[in-house]
Formats: sequence, C-alpha cells, structure tokens
Amino acid sequence: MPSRRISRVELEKFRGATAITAIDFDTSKSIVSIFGDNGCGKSTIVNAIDFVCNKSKGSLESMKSTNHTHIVSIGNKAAELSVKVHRNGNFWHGSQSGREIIVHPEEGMPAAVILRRSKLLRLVEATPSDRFDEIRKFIDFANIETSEQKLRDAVRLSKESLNSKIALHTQAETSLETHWQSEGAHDISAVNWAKLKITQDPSKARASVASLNTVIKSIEDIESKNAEVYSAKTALGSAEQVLAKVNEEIAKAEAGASSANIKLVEMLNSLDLVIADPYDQNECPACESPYDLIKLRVELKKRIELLGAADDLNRQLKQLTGKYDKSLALHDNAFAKLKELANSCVPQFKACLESFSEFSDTLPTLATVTRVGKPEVSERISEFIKLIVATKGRLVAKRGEVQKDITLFDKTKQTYDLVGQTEADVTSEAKILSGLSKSLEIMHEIRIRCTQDILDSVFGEFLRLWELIHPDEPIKPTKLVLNEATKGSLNQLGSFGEHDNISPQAYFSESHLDTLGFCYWLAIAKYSTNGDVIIILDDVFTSVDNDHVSRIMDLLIEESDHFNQIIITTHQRRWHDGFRYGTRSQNKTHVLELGIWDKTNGIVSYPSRMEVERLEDLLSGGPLDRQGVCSKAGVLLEQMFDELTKQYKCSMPRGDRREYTLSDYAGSTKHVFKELNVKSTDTAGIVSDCKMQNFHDELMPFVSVRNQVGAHFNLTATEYPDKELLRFGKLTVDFIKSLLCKSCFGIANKEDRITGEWSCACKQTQMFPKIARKK
Amino acid sequence: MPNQKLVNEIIESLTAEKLIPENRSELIRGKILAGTASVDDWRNWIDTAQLEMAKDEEVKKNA
Repeated sequence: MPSRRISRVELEKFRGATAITAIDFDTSKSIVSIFGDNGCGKSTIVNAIDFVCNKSKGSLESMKSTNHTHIVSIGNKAAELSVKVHRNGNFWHGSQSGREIIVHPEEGMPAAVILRRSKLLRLVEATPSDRFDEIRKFIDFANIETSEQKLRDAVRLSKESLNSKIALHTQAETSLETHWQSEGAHDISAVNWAKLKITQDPSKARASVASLNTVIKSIEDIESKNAEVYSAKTALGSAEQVLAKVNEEIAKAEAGASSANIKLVEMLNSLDLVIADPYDQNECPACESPYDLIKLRVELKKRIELLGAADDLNRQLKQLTGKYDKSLALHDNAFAKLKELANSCVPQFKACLESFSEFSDTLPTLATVTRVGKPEVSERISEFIKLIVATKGRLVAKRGEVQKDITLFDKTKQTYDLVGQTEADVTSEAKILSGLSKSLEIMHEIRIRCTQDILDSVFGEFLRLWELIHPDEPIKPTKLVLNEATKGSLNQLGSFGEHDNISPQAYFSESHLDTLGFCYWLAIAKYSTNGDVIIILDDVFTSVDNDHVSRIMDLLIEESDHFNQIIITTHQRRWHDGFRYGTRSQNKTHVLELGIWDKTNGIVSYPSRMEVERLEDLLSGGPLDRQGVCSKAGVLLEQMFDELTKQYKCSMPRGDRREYTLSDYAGSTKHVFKELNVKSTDTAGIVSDCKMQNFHDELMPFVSVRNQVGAHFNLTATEYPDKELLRFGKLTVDFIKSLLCKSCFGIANKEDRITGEWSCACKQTQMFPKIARKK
Repeated sequence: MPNQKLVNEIIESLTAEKLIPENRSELIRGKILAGTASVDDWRNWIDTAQLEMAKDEEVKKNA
C-alpha cells in the first residue's frame, strides 16, 4: 500500500523560509517531532503544509492585521513564493497569485488537519455556538441544515399567509354581517339568511327586467319618433300656409296681366342675357339690320321691370312647392316609421302587461286601442301612444323594484361566496401549515438526534483519550450536548469530584482545559476522517506539566497507528529530551531539531542526535574535552538513573527541591542493579543478555570525578589523568547503550500487557525484574 | 456518510407520515442533500402529498 505520509516539504520565499529549505521526514515513522525554540520556523513548516494541503494561509488566517502579502518572506515578491509537499514520489506545488492560493495538481493532495494553540483556545473558550462551528466542518450537515432552514422559512411564510387569509375571511364575514343587518333580517344568522337568499332563482327576475327594458326602450323610441312626426307635421302646415299665400298673390297678378305678358317677360329675359356685355355687335343677331345697342339695352330693361313682379311670384312659387313636397315626404316617412314601431311594440307591451298582475287594469284599454277597423290608423296609433306613455312611469317603477331584488341577490351571493371561498382558503392553508410544521418537527428532531448520536460516539473516544492522559483523576468531561432550542449550539459538560454537569470552563485548570480541547479535537478528527488524515499539532501544549506531557506523548505514539501521520512541533525541551536521552523510544518517531533562524540561512533543520552519540563524539579522538566528557556523562547517568528510580519506585533522600545528585541516585538504585538484567535482540536478530550490576559497581567510583572535573573549577580535578576520564566516558556510553534498545533506542520502561515485564516500545528489549526487591 | 444516512432517515419518516409524496422521494432526497430544497419545493411536496392522500381516501370511500 503506498505511503500516505508526507516525505518532504520544500519551501522558498515562504514566511520564515528566506533561503531555499527542504525538510525530509522519515516515512517509516508515524510521528515527526520537530523541536525548536520560538522563532526557529516551526509554524512556517506547518503553514507550508496547510498552504498546499488546505489552500490556507495557515496561522495568518485568523489574524486580522495580516493579509495575503505577509505569506511571502520579507523583502520578496509573491511570484517567487513556492512550497512543495512530497508524498510517495509525487509532489504538490503551491504558489500564490494575488490573493489566490494555487496548488498543482489541484487534487489528491494529502489530507491534513491542523491544531494550533489559537484554535485550541477557541475550542475551549468558545461560546456554545462557536464551538459548534468548530465541529460543523467535521459533521457536515450544512446542506441539510440549509434545506431545513428553507422548510422553517416555508412554515413562517405559511403562518403569515394563514393569518392574512384569516383576516380576509373575517373581513368577508363582517361584510356579510353588515349586509345582513342592512336588510334587517335578524331572525336567523347572517350565513343562514344568505344561504336562504341565494337559493332563490334570479333568472325569472332577470328576464322580467330584460322584458321591461325592451318595452321601455320601445316606448322611448316611439316617443321620440312621435315627436319627430309632430315636428314634420308642423313644418308641413307652415309650408302649406306659405304656398297658399303665394298662390293667392299669383292669382291676383294673373288677374292684372295676361299670361302672354308673362311669357314675353320670359322671352325678354332670355334676350337680355344674349345681348348682355360683352356682346358688341351693332346689328340684330336675327335679321342683321343695324341698330343702337345701348339704346336697345335701356329700352329692354325698362320693359322687363314692368313685367318683373309677375316673374318673382313665379319663382317663389316654384321654390315653395319644392319645400312643401319635402316636408310632406318627411312627415309621411316619420309617420310610417312610427306606425311600424307602434305595431311592433304592441305584442311586447301586451306580453309585459300580462306578466305583471298589477298591470291587468291596462289590458282592456290596450285591446280597445289596438282594435282593427275604424277609427283611422293615425287615430289608433295616437291612442296607443297615449296609453304607453301613460303606462311608462309605472313600468319604470316596476323595473326598479325587480332590479333591486336582483341587486340584493347578486350582492348576497357575492358576499356569501367570498365567505365560502376565504373559508376554503383558510382551511387549505391551515392544512399546508400543519404538514409543513410536522415535517419541520420531524426533520429537526432527526437531525438533532443524528448529530447527538455522532457526538455521543465522538464523546466515547473523547473520554477514552482524556482518561489516558488523566488516569484516575476526579475531573473529567461527561457529555457533549447539542442544544435543541437553538440552532447549532454545543455545550460541553464535565464532572469535578461529586459535582456533575458542571461547565469545565468554570472549574478545570488551564492545563486540563488544554487537554480537554485537544482530546475533543482529536476525537472529532478521528471520527470524521476515519484516520485517513495527517494530524498536525503546532506547539499546542504550553501549560501541561511533565507527567501529563509524558502521557500525551504516549497517547500520540499509540494513536499514530490510527492516522496517516502525526506531525508535532514544540518549543518545549521536555517533549524533546525524552528522545535525546533514550527515556522515550524513537521506533515510531522521527525527531528533528531546528537551528536558530537568521535571514541569510532561513530555517535550518537537522536530525536530532541522541546525547549518548554526542558523548561518543567527545570520546572519538583528538585532545580530550575533559570537562565536556565528565559533564555529559554525568548528565546522561543522572537522566537514566532518574528514569530507573521512577520505574522501580526507589526511595530518594528528601530535600526542599526535587533535585538529586548522581550520588543520591547511585545510592537509591544500588539494590535495583543487583538484579537488573537487560535482554535485547539487535537488528540482526542476535540476542544479548546483560547483567547491569557490573556497570553500577564500576561507575560508582567516578561519581566524584563527574563533580570535580565536569561541574566545578577544582584543582583536584587536574590530578585525574585523561585515561581515567576516558574510561568514565566509555563506561557511561556502554552502560547507556546496554540499557537502550538496539532498534528503537528507548529504554524498556513500558509494562508489557502480555508478559507483565518491562519492555521497550518496539518490544525488542526487556528489562528484569519487574519489581526490585530491597534486601 | 453521515449526511446520506441522515437524509435517508428524514425521507423515510416524512414518507411514513405521508407528509411528502412517495413517488418523489428520490428527487426530494437529492434536493435536501444538495441544500437546494426551496420554500416553494416544500409547499409543493406537502401539497402534493395531501392531494394524493385525499385521492386515496376518495378511492377507498368509493370502493
């Protein structure tokens, strides 16, 4: 199976990497521990991994005062920035374009989650909702929550719609009530009244109104036409009179002049027209005899004037005769139309009278008026018109009465229908609302339960991790509870002695809160990724004491089997010293150290060497560093004896401070060494069995050498020859190497769960006895 | 996948309660999972389910 571990990180112009930097990780080890003082570039390495794996600005993300330009090393350009993360022969290259982080290839980069001190504090100190935000990305129900929110919106909008529909229904009911009251029908309820009202069939009434409308319209037409006939008749009368008068005058004129004269006048007039200007012939047009034209004209005018009066009358008669004929035609035409209208109105009028009982009195008169035969047609029509005009007022009144009934029916129906329609709308919306509310209730309940199930599952792991770090302590987390009342709110609960359901933030110490946040985060990471992720802890633990640090290291070594890789950075030497002195195994851990940073060299990393190797270097040749050898050998012995006293629970001399000399350690462990035996299998499979009693015996005489040569200025120290100090150094190296495993370089300080013996982390080295007897 | 499991349980419960139409459960599942279920979608699903339920009752009554 290809390795899922990062093998190399290359940085150029990225944050603290002012020079090209490459850091190799041993992928045969599941943990990389990077030690360095503050400012050596630990966070730069972590940020570089974050940059490529998560396209994140890393620790700069949460700093408001920084921006994208701060990712680049000081004095360099963004285009020069480059980060490469290698895994299994491939690498992903990260660069920056403006604000955007570009990673190539875009997919398949190692999955890494990073816990920084700032995030740990957020986890611990956050409000319940902020705490939920931290877990949200692991329990990713965001889309489902969005859909749930839309359902919640639908419920809210449906409630608003229902309220407005109820208001419309109430308004419709009030309108019906008002209508009902205005009609004065108080003996039954408004609805029943309306129901009763609209059961009546309004079609007959509508037909009546239509019939009345037709008849009334016909009467109005007849009235109009009658007025027209009357007017034509009057005009005809006037024309008749004028014509008669002219005729009379003509008769008189005819009496005074012969008709021949009249004819002559006509002829003379015609002649006058012929000889009028511009006629300029001085001879007769008929006989062509010469004559005086001007004289002739004057003579002719004179004669015409004498005969003119008769001519005027003649022309007037002609005109008046034409006018009279026109008036007569108009009158006759209007009368004919009136006759036609009257004839067509008779059956309508009769039918209308017959359909209303109150008009029965008019029917006999109608029969009389419309009888066939004498008197004359005009007289019959005149009588008929008189009758209908007299009846018109009653007909209009009747129409108003029927129309009122119809209007009442229409209004009642409309109001009643509106009440029914709005009621149906209310019922329908209430049903929808009920369905939506029930759905929301179900969806919310399931989501909360499902999330709680996950939290419970996370909590199981959370508690297990906690108990590994805090065994047998009276303080522990007890539950993670999602607050159902508010959306996305997570409460942590704990116990302190006999007190349950307390808020850890109120009662836990700072270091307990640190480990609480760490365990919570690790449990979520494990649950959500199923371990297919690289865990990175960036200098997370600052307030945790030695014992707890040791247990956290144990836990991480144990847990590293369940993740792709664990990368830890720390500035705390106590994390690191265990590996250097061999009290902690390196079988799963690749230990790196960072040197002091400067702008020219940038980040400098090198494999961390064990102290015993450094002592070997001092012994390897050349002028002997007397003080160096004795000092390092003494510290190494003290460190190892300290580990053995803890392991075998040796009594130590009481002092004000927990500081012991090599002499104290030597005395307390004397009985242990009498039995102490280390059985080891080296990488070639060769088993060695080493009794440690001899080392103790041989080393004890050098206790004073360590102090005199290695720790103080002392003239007596000069009396020790190099040969003796060299022997002290070599004995120490042999002693340490005999104690440490040849494979994992750790002491056998773990209790083997199967054999019950002391064993190293890789189980290649065992130490006996389990318990040393004090004789 | 926890969200798949969650959506399945939600759909199962809503269908059992006849709050959403069974024949559209796949579409609804997809929309809830993608976070694209809208207010109108929810109204429509509830309305359709109620209409179908009324129709079923009518058929039962007539039978």
